[in-house]
Amino acid sequence: MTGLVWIAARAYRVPAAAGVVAALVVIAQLAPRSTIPVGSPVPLRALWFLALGCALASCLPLIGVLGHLEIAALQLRVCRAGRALASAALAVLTVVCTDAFFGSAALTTWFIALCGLGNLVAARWDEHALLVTLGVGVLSILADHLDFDAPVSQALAAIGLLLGLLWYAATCVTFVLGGLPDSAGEPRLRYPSRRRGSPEP
Amino acid sequence: MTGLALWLRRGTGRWVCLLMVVAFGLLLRRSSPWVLDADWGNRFGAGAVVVFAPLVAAAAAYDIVARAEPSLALAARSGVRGRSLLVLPALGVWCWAMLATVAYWLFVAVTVVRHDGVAVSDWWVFPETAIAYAAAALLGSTLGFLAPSVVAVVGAPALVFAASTVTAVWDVRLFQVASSFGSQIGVERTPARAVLGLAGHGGLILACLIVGSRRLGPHRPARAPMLFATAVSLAPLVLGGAWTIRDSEYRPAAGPVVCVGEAPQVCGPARAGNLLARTQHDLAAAVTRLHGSDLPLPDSFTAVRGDAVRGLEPNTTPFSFDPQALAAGPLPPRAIADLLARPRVCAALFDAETATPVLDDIDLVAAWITRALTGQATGPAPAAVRAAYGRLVSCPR
Repeated sequence: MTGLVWIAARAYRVPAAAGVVAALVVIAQLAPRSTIPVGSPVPLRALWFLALGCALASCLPLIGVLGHLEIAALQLRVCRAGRALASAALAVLTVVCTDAFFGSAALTTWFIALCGLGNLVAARWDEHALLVTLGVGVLSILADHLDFDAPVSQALAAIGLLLGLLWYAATCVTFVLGGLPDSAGEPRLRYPSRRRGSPEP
Repeated sequence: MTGLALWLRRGTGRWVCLLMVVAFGLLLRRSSPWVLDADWGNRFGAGAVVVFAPLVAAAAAYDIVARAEPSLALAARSGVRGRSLLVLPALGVWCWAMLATVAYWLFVAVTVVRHDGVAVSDWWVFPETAIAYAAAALLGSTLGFLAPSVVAVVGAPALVFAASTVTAVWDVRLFQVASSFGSQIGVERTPARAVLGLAGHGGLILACLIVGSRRLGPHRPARAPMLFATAVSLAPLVLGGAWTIRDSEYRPAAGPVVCVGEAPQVCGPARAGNLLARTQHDLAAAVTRLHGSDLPLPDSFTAVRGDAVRGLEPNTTPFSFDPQALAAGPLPPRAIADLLARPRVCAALFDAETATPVLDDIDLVAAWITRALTGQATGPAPAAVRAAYGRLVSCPR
């Protein structure tokens, strides 16, 4: 049983994701007040960067970039539930380990919202979830730090942690249900062909 | 060239470019205080490098993982074009990132020319930005080959995040370019810092190429020389962590100085001559208007920044030149009042315990001058204002 869990964890890339989270959490613990100048009067708190890295890592188990056989198996609801569970475990691990250092509900809500976004995009576009989450994260960081009114922080503070958690739960369900076959018996989601667009060496 | 065109067309870089354009649009929409200073505009945008670098690294890693595919990499390992698989995807992403950046630079240049502002004099920002993106892209593509599967797409930005955070307190700040939210007139980039930054990123690029060559090249180099070469290439980074440069990111500009007008005379960097003339015109009008105020207003101003204040003549009034105030036309009364209310830099301002009374005096004088310039006060200044101004004029420097 333990061996099976380990194989599943490896297949879901949990060790690699946990490694990335652990490394970033250690840095967050060592330099909780570190800031990076980004051309605005208020420098960027490095914690935002580290949280974004952890959000990306928590998306890793959701991605099914494997062979065609595995992809077919991963359409199953149980597999997707396992992936969502692994992803959620990583997100919870990040929040628990860095809760004292996040220091604001807005940052925690932002992190959870990004993880939820990863779930939602992964349900439809698989590995593109990583780039979408990163892009949205980067844009929101930039918007928040270059505007004196910190629109993202204000919006997240208004939304609140509870709504953020609800959003995350909803996206988890969407991800799990996304693999169910539709009425025609076809998988609801298609994984993009790995070969399409590959350049010749 | 065909290979690069292929990666430009099919790589993820175009999406990075699109996102950067959107972000720069947000940046410019928020405000453009730099419209009279091209250096300020460029350094303002350079602050975004640290935010975009993870994106560039992730895109390069993604192109390797999702497009080049392990099978292709294995096939390339036996061919002479193996190393190009490392460089070309990174080059493609870098080109797209630079396209957005160059578009931003051009926008800044055109805006400054349209407003008759100060042209570029800080040329360091261009190579600094380009090499930071190049290092991020190459780090991403190298990790794309080293890390298993899609883990690299997460590992590359995570590594950039970690490196940015850890080196934030070093003299070599990885994936960062010195930024500014204030005017660059009167200051210039400290060359030693710029060179160290270039060397640090260059070393990282070299290390990525060496490591990638071992993985992809047709003939694998021996491990020991490769490790040695990697260590040497990373030496600037280590030096940047251990060695502290005394100068900060910017230092007082050493260029020629020009003085314009009389009563008052305004001096400053020659390249900002037209802005100084506009400032002098507004100051002269204000001084004329305050003629009957009985305040001994300064008759000579010099635009200086930082430690250059110490080298000024005793009868010269230093001021920190902010072209933002001129962007909308003539200097507003409050800006003029702030200049006139600081006839000299008092030493007391640099001590938290003694600064408060001096700042109170400045506020009192500036408020009255503002009222006088807007027609709300006429005649001689009240005794309290004159006394406060007397203290400001005679305070120890």
